[in-house]
Parts: sequence; C-alpha cells; structure tokens
Amino acid sequence: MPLETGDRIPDELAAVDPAGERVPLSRLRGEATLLVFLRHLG
Amino acid sequence: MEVAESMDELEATVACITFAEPRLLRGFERKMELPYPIYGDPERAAYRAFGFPRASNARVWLDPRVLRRYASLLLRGRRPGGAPRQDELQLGGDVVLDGEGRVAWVYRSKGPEDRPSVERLREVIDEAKAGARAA
Repeated sequence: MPLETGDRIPDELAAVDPAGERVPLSRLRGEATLLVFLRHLG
Repeated sequence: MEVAESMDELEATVACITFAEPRLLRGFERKMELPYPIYGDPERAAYRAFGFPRASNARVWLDPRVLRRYASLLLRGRRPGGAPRQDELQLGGDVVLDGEGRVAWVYRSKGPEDRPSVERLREVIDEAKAGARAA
C-alpha cells in the first residue's frame, strides 16, 4: 500500500545526493517539506 | 519547472527527486540552476512508496493535454533533450511532509502535464504547518 496522508516516512526510505551519499527522506525535514518527484531529466 | 520559478512563494524546505542515475545530477543542477537540492532514486523505491505509477504510451505521447503543455514550454524557450534515454512513461508527483515527518499531502500525476499549481502547493504547505502546530 502506498504511503498516504498521516503516515510517517519510514527511516529506510532514502535517495542519493549528487556526491553519492545516501540521504533518508525523513532527514529532509523543515516546518513543512515539499518533495517534487520528477518524471525524468531533460 | 514551475516550482523552481516560484521558489520564493513557497515557504517550505524543497527537495527535488529524480529516478536518474546519481552521476547525472550535477550536470542537471548546473543546467537548470536549481535553487534547491536534487536527489537520485534510481531504484525508484520512493516512487513506489508514494504510489507514483507509469503511464501508458498513449497517455504520454498522444494526449492533447501533453501536446499543449509541450507547446507552451517551447514557446517559453524551453528545449527538450540533452539527457540520456530514460523511462518516459514513469510519472512523478508531489509530497508535502509536516514538521514531524508525516505525510501531509500526496499528489500523484495522472499524465506528464499534470502537476499541482503553485497556488495549490502554497495552500497545502500552509495547512501542513498549521496542522503540525495544532497537534
């Protein structure tokens, strides 16, 4: 089941920064955080 | 990217995620002059976690809404290309997290042109902040 409103971001859900470092999405946190998922580069 | 052009209007931490290989990210950052960080998710684990689907070929290549969107981008000076071949059918979306790391809102694009307006993003960001304060 996909994540829905109210669900907490699992700590293991991560992406990779341009330096190759793994970054948990839960760490990208501000008072509010907007994650923009792109279709593709170009 | 409309969000990039309206960054000042969005009072939130913003991060961009792509399923491209991480080695491509620096070049894209330079090309787009992004005002926020970009991350790679080549395994698409986060895309799956939030339920962002792949579209049909017809929805991506033949839908008049997509053609209108590309025409609009071309008229604004955007030129496609320059990136290696990628999965053109994978759709994106937008997620707003509250200050506690909970999902406050998810928007799953129904086609390549289908993204929430900056105005709508501003609304849900404000709601996420207010909700976190009230909790």
